[in-house]
Amino acid sequence: MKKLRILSALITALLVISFSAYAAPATIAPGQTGGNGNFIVIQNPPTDKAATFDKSYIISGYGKQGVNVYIYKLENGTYVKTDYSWTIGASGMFFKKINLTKGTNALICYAEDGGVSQSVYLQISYLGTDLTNKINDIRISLDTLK
Amino acid sequence: MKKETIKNIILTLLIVNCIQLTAQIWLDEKLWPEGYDFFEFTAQFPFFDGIVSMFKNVNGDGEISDATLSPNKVVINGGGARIVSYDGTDTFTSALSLVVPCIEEIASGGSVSSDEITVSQWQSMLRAKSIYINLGFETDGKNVGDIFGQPLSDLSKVSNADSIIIYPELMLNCTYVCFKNTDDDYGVRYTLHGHSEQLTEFIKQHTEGQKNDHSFAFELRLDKDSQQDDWGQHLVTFNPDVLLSMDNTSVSDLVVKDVFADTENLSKRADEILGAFGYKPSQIRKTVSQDGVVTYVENGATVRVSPDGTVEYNAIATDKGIKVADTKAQPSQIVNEVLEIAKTVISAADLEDTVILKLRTPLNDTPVFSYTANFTRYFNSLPVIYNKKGGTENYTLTAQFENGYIKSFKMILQGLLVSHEQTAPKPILVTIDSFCETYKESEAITVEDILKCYYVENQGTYKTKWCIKYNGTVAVPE
Repeated sequence: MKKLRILSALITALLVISFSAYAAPATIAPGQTGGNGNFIVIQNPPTDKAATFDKSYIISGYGKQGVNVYIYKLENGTYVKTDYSWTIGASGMFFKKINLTKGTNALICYAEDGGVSQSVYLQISYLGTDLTNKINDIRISLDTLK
Repeated sequence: MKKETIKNIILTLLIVNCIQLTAQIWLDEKLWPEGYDFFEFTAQFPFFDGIVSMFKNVNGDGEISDATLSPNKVVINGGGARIVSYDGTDTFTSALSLVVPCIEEIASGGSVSSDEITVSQWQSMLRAKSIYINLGFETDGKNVGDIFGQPLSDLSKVSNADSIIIYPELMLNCTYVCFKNTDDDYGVRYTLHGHSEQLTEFIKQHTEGQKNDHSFAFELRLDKDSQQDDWGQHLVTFNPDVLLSMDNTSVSDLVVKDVFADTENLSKRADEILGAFGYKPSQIRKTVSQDGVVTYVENGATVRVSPDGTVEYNAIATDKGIKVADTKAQPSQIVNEVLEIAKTVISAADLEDTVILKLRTPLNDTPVFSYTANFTRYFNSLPVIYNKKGGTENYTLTAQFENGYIKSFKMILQGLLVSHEQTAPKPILVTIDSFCETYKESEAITVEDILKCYYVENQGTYKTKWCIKYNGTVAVPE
């Protein structure tokens, strides 16, 4: 009976550990290595840094069908999992609109499949509307040039 | 019965028949000068109207709208926010009213300069403050001028354009009008003085405070594949100017009603529809099949009218068809002839609707030996696509022209109404994924366009769905 209990406990622990390993973590520490998966390619932004005058940004790309993708955002020194997540479908493509806060938004696109993960670091800066308004007010006309 | 009585009855019947036939001939033709017709005048009075209607062939008031060449959609780019408007909306009309003076200025020549632009320049303008017009079909400069109501002039550099950008350059107080030719990698840009302030104000008015729920495929870089071959799945790419919408606005459902109430009505209306092809019922052999299809067979052609509203005309040989020209004809001439036949069919079918048929085939000025004219019906600003037994039918009206004759004509007639119910279509990515799950071909998928539509079969109510145009065909996934 005792042996049976120990065996049950071991099996339960094994299952818990394996499920834990498959689930995306709640936080990721900066500098943590990104996993050796090859599941997604980010098309937009084209590089790891981008800037926009819009309050939102669409992250797009292609990936392996069935892979789960999560967005993490840097807050108080740690990357915290956000509500943005999706599973890549048969088309292999994804595009997700992310709301931004003013200033630099440090993000991780975390892709996970069968316990293997891949992290893609992105930095998207929201420049706000003040600069846009200033640019829009500049106008050159013949009267100005005279 | 006495012989005299029988003779009197027969004579009376013959006289009444003569009067009836005479009245039919008189009432179908206007005998008096333009604007006056005695029988039309008397028909205004209730008592006489009743008598007149007994003799007159009464057809429906249905007609074809003049929006055949109207653009598919107008996108107002605010440099961040973006709105899309379709034919039938105030924004659409307002945008085009600003575009017309620009086209007028180009068409009239004068101090307008032109140059070539690259794809990159075209895309830069779409990202900035501009108005993008998608025509829905390719056309040349002459027809672009006609679409916007301006006479032909210096639009000769526009050979095969399907879209236009109006870009106000406020700082220089000038406006660029750009046409994208589909047969090369360049566009044509005309530079006009002025118009920029008005256009900029219009764009600001319509995009300020709006969300950015629409992105062109090139902005998301989904027009380039990922170069990843080791995932073992089809990857989808888009044509660069395909507009991807994340807008989930509800749209009214569509109610479809059969055009023919019953077999008797179908038979009667079929006799009227026959006239659109130049035949009279007395001249041609008529049969009605068990499933209710009315077929007319003549030496040179057959006409078929089905209970589901399909009208088909097929000539057995090219020179037995409906003559349009000696051999070649301009596509615009062919389109006009086809629409004239369609107009008669709609009226004869007793449709009361104004049917919006938009051309979906390239239109240019060069006379051709062969041409297929395809039209999609639009209702509530959305295209109506048909789920028929043979597969998805993109076009409400298709006609084939060859060597001077219209050889075949096929049209689907349905009564359409807007429902009080509204539904939001599925997210666009879910639809694309559904499509890919059932895609069995080995050919790569390049999406040419993706748009909301009504996907209909028979009588019933239908919610809006996404229609994917890819590799020259269409699919409407569940």
